[in-house]
Amino acid sequence: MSDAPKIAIRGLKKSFGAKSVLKGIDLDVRQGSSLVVIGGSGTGKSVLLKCVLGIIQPDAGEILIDGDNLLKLSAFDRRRRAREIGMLFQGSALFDSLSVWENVAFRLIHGEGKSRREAREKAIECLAKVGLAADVGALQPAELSGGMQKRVALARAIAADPNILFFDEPTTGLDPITADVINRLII
Amino acid sequence: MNAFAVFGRGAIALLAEIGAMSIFALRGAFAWVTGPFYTRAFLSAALRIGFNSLPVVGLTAIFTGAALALNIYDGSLRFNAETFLPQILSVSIVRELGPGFAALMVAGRSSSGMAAELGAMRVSDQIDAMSTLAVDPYKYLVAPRILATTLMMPFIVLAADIIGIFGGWLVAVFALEFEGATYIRNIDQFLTAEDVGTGLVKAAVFGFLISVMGCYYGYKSRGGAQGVGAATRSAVVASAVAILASNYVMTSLFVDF
Ligand SMILES: Nc1ncnc2c1ncn2[C@@H]1O[C@H](COP(=O)(O)OP(=O)(O)OP(=O)(O)O)[C@@H](O)[C@H]1O
Ligand SMILES: [Mg+2]
Repeated sequence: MSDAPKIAIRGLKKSFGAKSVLKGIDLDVRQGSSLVVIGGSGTGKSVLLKCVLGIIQPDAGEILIDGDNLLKLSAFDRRRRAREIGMLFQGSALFDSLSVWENVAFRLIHGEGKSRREAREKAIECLAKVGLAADVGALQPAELSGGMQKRVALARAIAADPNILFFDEPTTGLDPITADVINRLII
Repeated sequence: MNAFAVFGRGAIALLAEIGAMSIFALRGAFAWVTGPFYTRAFLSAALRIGFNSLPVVGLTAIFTGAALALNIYDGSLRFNAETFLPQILSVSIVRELGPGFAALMVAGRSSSGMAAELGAMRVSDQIDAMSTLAVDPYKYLVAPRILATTLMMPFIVLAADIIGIFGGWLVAVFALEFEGATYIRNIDQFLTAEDVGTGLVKAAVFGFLISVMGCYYGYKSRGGAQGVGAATRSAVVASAVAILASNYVMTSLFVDF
């Protein structure tokens, strides 16, 4: 268990039409470690993450989490697997029909069946971790600045304490000081 | 390219689309069985579709009833049958015009609304984000809307029936000099539960079609604001066509000699 990688990607390929974006990616991530993928704009970082999450179907290759090939699992097992993953989307992707705290608590309430009160307390706690005051929780996402939205999305990703966390550009659009806070939090 | 190939390609595309929609609708039915059931999402959809549609449906119904009264009176005068105005008007409304007009109005309102809302969520990654939060977006977003619209439509149509008949009554009593109480009594004696019931069954089917179209086009939309616009348009057109086509099929089944 200890030396098997938590996530292993083998020969992952994906093209959109004639344009091939991922050309056979291999990588290993061990339990308890962090991996940063750096690349120019439009080189396929977001596509890579979306493949691992099962949002985009890759053309070829394997994605192994704890040794199980995600692409061979049934839809049901795959969904269960997705539960241990938290994801911060590049565009934040906050639910604009819900208030900020309901966004952060979404998984706790709807995915894990916690009571709204309990989930709300946890949500306020997570907001504090990303440097947002409790009264921000009552606002709508549209009332926040871009950087604040990003921090709310980060709070939402960590709220359920997932085993695996993916961040798609967590600090773009943030000032260096807040970015530093976020980077510390991630590590 | 010859015309035959163009036609064939169009027909195949249409069939593929209908197939994809049917699978989508079946998943909706299956989602209610397997749960979890999101009560809050369901209630808010029911309130938005049911209650908020009432003003526009009511207005449509009252004007339809009023115009219908004038037309029936004018037509039936030609063979001295104008005393049957209340009967003809009420049966037309509960069987055909109440469900039809209410459904078309709800299609314009809710089907487009669902397509735009889900479409905007799709293109801003919100639907994908939901699936990473251990919630099946299909069960949280689509299934409650389909169930809510299907259950609320009969109530909306019942209200449209009553308001439509009232619109006819207003014209009959104030413009055509019918006696108000006799008018109501005639309807009461003539109209059967089956007349009203078949209209309400139609309403539920229309509600199902409206919400499936709205959710289907929204859920599948691609490509930013333009994609959302296209989804909204397709949803309204497809639900209107589905309403009118299924209306004919259901009417021919109900009018069983
Ligand atoms: N759904 C899609 N359909 C077609 N092409 C796509 C799609 N998604 C991404 N691409 C293409 O794949 C390439 C990689 O996109 P991706 O979003 O992964 O870039 P990125 O590395 O995350 O860039 P950035 O740093 O700007 O976010 C881009 O050239 C883009 O045009
Ligand atoms: Mg990206």
